[in-house]
Amino acid sequence: MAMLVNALRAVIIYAILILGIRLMGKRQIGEFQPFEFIITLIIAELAAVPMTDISIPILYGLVPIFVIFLMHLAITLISNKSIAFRKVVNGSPQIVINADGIDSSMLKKLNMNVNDLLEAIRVQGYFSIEEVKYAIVETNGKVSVLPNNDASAPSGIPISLIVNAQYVEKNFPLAQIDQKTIDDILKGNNLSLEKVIFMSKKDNGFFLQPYGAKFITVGG
Amino acid sequence: MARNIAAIIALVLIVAGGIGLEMYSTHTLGELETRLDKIESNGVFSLEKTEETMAWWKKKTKVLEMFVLHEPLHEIDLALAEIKGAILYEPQDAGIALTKAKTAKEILLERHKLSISNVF
Repeated sequence: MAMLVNALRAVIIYAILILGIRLMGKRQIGEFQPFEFIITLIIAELAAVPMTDISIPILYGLVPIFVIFLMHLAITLISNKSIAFRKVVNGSPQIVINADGIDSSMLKKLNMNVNDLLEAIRVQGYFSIEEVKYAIVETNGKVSVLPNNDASAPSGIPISLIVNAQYVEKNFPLAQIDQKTIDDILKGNNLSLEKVIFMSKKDNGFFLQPYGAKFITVGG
Repeated sequence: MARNIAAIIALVLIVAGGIGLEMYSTHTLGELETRLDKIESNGVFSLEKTEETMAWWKKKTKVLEMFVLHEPLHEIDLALAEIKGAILYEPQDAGIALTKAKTAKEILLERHKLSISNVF
């Protein structure tokens, strides 16, 4: 009696977890596809419950584990045959840095912020946005980078001055700059703070990335 | 290919096993109901029938414990023991103890049957 109830509950919870992970965006996933991530999350828990409590029949752990195995297999099979289904379950790779620089609307869609993106490209060995021609967030949450061979690597680490339309004041002394100078640079480019998703100091120049527009380099 | 065969076997086992266990449980609890009804006849409670039911239930519990949570099964054990105790020492309470056993059986049946309320 409870066996079928358990099986149906496992199907429902699995489907809801996949939906939840998909809605969370890509940054939480790591190395797995969403449906693989679900399995690692719940299998251990399912096995542990009847293992530690002898008043619970072992079937209560085994049935959901087998159901999840079946769901996994079914999703894998259907994903291999249907691109549309694969897109629904796994999502699709998304370009977050393009010829215009950072795609702020895509970042928002992926539930990522500029710092996440900068960290991801640093992991790939690139310390400034200009060094990257394209950056793609893969379905497993990792970021792939196509380098921009025309751009030179910075001699030092670029210092963030504005992130998500907010001053990063703690970095001003490090960059030997004050807020007025930054405001002047913004004004000189017909920009205001709330229109800038990212600004950094690189060597002797500045990198400015407005929301929804091409990046601007100043000086350097 | 081997994995697909394993998946089909697992699916068949889950569905067939689930249906089989559901039928077994429903049948067993139905028989328990019948046995409980036979304990009382015209206001007289039979100690012999109670002990028979207890012995029968003990055997059935060994099987049910493999796929039903143990706690509700043991609640029926306790309820049957209460019927026996009431018949021996407080006959006026035997009816209450019998009702308790029937209720415990009903709860077990409700709790484990395949229904929308149990799934959600």
